[in-house]
Amino acid sequence: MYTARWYGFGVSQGLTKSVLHFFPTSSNVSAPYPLQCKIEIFSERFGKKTLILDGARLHQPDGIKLEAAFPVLEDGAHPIFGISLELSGQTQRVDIRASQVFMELINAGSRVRFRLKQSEAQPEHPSAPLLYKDEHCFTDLVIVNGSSDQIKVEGLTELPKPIPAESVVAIEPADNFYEAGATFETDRSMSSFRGIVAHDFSHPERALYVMQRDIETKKIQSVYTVGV
Amino acid sequence: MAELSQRIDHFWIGSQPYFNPYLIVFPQEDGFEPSETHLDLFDPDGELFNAAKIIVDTPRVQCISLEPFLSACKVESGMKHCHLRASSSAGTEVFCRLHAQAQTTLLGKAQFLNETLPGFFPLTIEEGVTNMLALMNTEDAIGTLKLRLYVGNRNPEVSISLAPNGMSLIHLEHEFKEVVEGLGQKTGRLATYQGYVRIASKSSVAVQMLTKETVAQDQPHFSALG
Repeated sequence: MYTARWYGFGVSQGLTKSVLHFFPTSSNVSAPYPLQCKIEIFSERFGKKTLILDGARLHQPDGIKLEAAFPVLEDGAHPIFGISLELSGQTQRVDIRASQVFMELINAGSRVRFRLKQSEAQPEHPSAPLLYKDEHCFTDLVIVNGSSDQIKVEGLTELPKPIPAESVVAIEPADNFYEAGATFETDRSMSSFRGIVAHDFSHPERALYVMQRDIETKKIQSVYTVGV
Repeated sequence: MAELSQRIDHFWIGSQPYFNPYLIVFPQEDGFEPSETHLDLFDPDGELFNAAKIIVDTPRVQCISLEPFLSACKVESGMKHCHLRASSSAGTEVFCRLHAQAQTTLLGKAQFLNETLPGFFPLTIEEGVTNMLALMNTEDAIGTLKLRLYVGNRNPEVSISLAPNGMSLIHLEHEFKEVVEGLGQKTGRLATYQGYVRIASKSSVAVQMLTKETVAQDQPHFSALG
């Protein structure tokens, strides 16, 4: 039986809500076979919550509002939490590794969408997160640790302790982080960039994202998935 | 100089009058070696209108305005826009950043599609939102693909043809006008509808989705998805 799993994060805070979209597809089967779909959310605050979703079918896109599906999110007091989605075919024949999963963060009518990292997908080329900052926006590094081991990340003094198992953190590097990077004048302002060496993230249950925010309102403007 | 590997990325580049595009070349610091990135820029009709080579000899990120490379780019649908193919040495990543009036948007890599790997994007159909797909043909032969919209109980399909190395910026609300207009007929007003688009191609195509939202003060907000 083929199983595929994705790791990412959601936000459920104030006006910001999360919707998980998924498109189960197969390169070798065209019939709308039923699939098993398991969604887990996790954070240091509430531990791990699991939902088994009925009715998922091959080639049928679907989405789920996470605040409606997980009562623990109803209070809207979760600036960030981890998520995993697992799809399983019922027979060995159905290869579902081409399926795709997206997160959508909705805030007062504006939407930010990003692709979730598939756990077993091995990128053809290694990838590292690129962080940047200017007078209008800044970036957070989001580290999703869905594994049962803690992670120690080197090179970020903002991380005083290892990241616990089954948790997620968003780190805004301090201004001096960019001193070792590069700064350029663009049409908008001076923009600073710096990459991070990410040794520990080839683990299938870990994922990295870079989240761009407005410098004044802190509103999330975009998210990119590292290594996809 | 690091050997030029097969790392090839594709980007849709939007330019005047909406965007100022920048190329970000990111040499990864581990075991850094000077690297090359070859840029090929194609008009929507697939004509190569410019090519360039960027040599990076320091392990620091480079940010380069693409505007000087686009002077020969044709204007199509009121905008200069093109298909960028970036071929980089091993250990070098390339991103594009679009600067618009109110914000910047970092473009990740376009999604690759082929016969066994369809494309898929969630979308929202509502007033003030425009959903666009930038479809780029990565081959030297004509490409054909099919777009299927899933909204409500409808799933209409259209076929699109792409010139060799060419691109097309598809406005989904225009392409599926009949279905989208039908959504608002019962109430006389278009509410918010969740939809999905599936892209199937027998040839190799790269795709990015661009969404334009006008939420407040007529300042459009652009977001991109690869």
